[in-house]
Amino acid sequence: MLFNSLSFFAFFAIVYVLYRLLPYRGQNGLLLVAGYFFYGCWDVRFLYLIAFSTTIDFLIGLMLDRGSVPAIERIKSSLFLISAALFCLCINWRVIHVSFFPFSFSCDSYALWPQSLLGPSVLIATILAVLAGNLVYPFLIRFSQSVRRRLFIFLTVFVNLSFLGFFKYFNFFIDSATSTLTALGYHGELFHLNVLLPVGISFYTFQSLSYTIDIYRGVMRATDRLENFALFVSYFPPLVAGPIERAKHLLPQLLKPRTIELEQSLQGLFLILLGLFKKCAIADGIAPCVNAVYNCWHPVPASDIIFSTVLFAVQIYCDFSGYTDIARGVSKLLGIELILNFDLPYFSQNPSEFWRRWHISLSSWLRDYLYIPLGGNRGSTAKTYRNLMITMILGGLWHGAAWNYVLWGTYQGLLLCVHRPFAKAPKLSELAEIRLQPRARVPSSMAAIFRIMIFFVFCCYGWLLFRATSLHQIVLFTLTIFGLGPKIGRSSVLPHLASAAAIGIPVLFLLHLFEFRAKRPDFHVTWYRPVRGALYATLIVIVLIGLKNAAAQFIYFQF
Amino acid sequence: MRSEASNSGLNRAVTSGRAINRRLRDTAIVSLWTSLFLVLFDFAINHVYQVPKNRLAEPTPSQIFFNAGNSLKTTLRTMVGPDKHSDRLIAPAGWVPRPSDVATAQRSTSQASLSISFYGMSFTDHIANIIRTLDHSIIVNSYGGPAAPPNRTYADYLARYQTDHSDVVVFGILSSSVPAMGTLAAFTRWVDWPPECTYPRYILNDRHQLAAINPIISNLDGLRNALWRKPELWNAMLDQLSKYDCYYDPMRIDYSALDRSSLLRLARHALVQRHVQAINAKFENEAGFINRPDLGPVLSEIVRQFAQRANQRHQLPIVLLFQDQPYRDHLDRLMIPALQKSDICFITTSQIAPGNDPANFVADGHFNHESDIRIAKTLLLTIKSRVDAAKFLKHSTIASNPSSADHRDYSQDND
Repeated sequence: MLFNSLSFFAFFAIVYVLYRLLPYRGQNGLLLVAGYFFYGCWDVRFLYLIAFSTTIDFLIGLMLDRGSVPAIERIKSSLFLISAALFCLCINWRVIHVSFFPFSFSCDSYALWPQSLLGPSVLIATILAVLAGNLVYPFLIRFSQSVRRRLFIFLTVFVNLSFLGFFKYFNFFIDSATSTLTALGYHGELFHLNVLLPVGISFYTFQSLSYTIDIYRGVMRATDRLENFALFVSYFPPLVAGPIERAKHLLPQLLKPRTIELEQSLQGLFLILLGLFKKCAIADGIAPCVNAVYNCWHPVPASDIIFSTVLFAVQIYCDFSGYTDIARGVSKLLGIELILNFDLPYFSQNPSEFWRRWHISLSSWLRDYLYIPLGGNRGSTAKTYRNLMITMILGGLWHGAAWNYVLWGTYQGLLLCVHRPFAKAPKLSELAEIRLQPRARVPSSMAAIFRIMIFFVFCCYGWLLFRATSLHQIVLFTLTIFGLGPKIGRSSVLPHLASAAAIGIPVLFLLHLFEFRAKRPDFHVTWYRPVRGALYATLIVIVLIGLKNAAAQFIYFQF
Repeated sequence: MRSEASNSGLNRAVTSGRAINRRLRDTAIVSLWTSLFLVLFDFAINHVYQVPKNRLAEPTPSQIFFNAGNSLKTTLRTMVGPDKHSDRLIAPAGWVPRPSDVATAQRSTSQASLSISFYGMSFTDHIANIIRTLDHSIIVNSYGGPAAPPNRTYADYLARYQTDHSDVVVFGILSSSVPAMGTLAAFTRWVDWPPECTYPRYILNDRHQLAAINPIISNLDGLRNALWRKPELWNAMLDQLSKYDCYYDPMRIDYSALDRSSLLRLARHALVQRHVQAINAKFENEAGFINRPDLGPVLSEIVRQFAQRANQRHQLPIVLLFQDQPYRDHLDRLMIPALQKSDICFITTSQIAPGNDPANFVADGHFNHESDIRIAKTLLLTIKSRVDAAKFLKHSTIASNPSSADHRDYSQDND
């Protein structure tokens, strides 16, 4: 169920109406069911992963914070996990088809039962694991606090990263190992599994992991009800492509009754419109141009590479920030604030600033849970550079199991390392604080504008590494850009830019320029009413024109 | 003190209430301005991008774009007028001829080395044109409709085969048109400026024999009558489409108020497009064509019967598979096993100009000229290896290397 589909808006309309009618507890129950339904629309089987991650991190949170789990929560957790295995893995949900717009439902009841032994096997393993967990529980609570804390923080990191590693990186490492062995002269087929990547696994795993690590650090207390934590993990707006929420920001909002302000709802509606504008009109309109060059088998002209790479920079920004805008807008309509994920990243003057503006929820996560624990900038200069490189390479690998993401992460790390001697070192206290609303700085001179343009060029080369389909293509494109590539007899392979994108890109640039100058995301509310009316109407018209573009899945779903 | 506190609370509530009222008023006024601008945009687009009244003038892409969301009746009426003189130029395209209206296709003579008939669509037509330029001694006939699906191509062949005396008959199958085997008319699947032709749909009956569902309206005059004079014929056609056309979408059928607003047309266009995409997904996904009883088996039977008829008439049947989508081998995997099983000669573009390489295509989705030349050369070489070599080689000037794809070299050779 894509955010830019009618099915999603029909789904959200139902959720919203019920949400407004229900009292606080009912609202939370509704959001929990909606989150599981929303995620289940992709593949019901993967709901078991969310349920597993939720249960494990909830129990570990309690063990880290209090050293024990109330009996009722143990029973609830056990039943929840077994039920999840039964309903998600032992029923063949693929034979059930539901569509909201137009509404349709079909089910082949004869094919409802599992088609393989995997589901029942996982169910039996789950029951055994639950029994084992309950049996060892009395021994676990007898451990000393320090031993228990070390054991459970290891467990949460191990379990979460093992799941992520298996589903995201298993085939990548096996393929890489096979290639290495082949290069060394050994010809053998390594064990290969056709592992499907659950949508959004990187997002909710990091979100869930931040909860237990924050409890371990004493930053927050554990929540004492499974359903509250389950809602935190499965809250549907940011579930599949972020922002990666922190428990100390989102959980308190979920644990108290919400009041939905008119102002907040209006901001939400504008964000949804802006998100659709970015996604449907611009990102989807640009996609064919970028694909035409990057899917090309043969050498293409340097001008095509440069133009399509710049377009890809716009596409990935509009695609990802468009999703975030819709997620934040939808959440605002529900009275819940999500953290800002993008703060005009292409107005950055240097790599350090870029990472404070681009995918803020991930960069701050990596900073708080990887860079600072590695030592941050507290040790020698060499160690600081090492920490930066490790953080950025792992950040690159977070995006996907491919060498070009590793290369992209390395490139970003190198940019940060090169820039670091010229940058003023931030205070540690500043680093430790999550910047929920980072403020843009207005460039004061032509020099600043020049720096923005120069950094954009470096940024675009990073996107070439990111978008390339192979290492060979990276080398070929790089050589071609610098005039060292093969001679090309063909003309441009670029198709015409979709009209919505051609109109939308200048409009978006102007909007961002106004936002940058005004230093506030709701800059337009101070405009004269007719001008605001014209702005909203223009965005609506461009979105309608953009709906002609083939609807593509959000790029970040694959991460 | 208590009284002051309660007064202060009351003042805050009143102030807050006023602020909300002010914000509500502001929102209402901005909404009105937004609506006003939307109406202005709507009016402006309608005015600027109106389809030209002159039926001989082709509309621009922008005019097509902003009118694509019209109801089907409005769209078809734009193209087919109440009489022949008011039709647009595109109106006669794609209709399957009646056998009685078909002219006889020429057989090869002593001057002509070979005669080839192409059945298909623009893709086959491009290949036919290139073969004409590659070897002037070959008689080339090309028949087809816009993006014709295999059922339309087969119906066209059936209408002409008794008068077609060519040595070689080529049956073109376009990968992107294969899902249209579930249609009875081009305009149910084609959203932007659709051709208005209809054609039969084929299914396999209980005895696994090919059975045709013939459209109620099968020629331009019939459609004209349905659109302008006989509403009962129009309704009967819609009734048939709703039963037998997989792409039929009631949302876009009849004239409605949506036709008057350019913005609502855009919205309807998006909905219809998503409907078409959803139905397409029932025929093909990223893994390949879906295993449906009305797709693979029917297509296999169509090409088998085509080859059988051609063989009976001592013609060489060749199936030309055009993989025009960004996948390498969907059509190959659907068709090649059946073609090999029936021992039918075929050529696939997936090896000559792979569909997943955008460099092989031009912006409108057709193969570029270099790719067309490679395909044409391969086809001629295949024909050369199959037909009477002595007869063929008498006048042929084809190079033996199919990979050399420079059109200028060929022109020079021919010169």
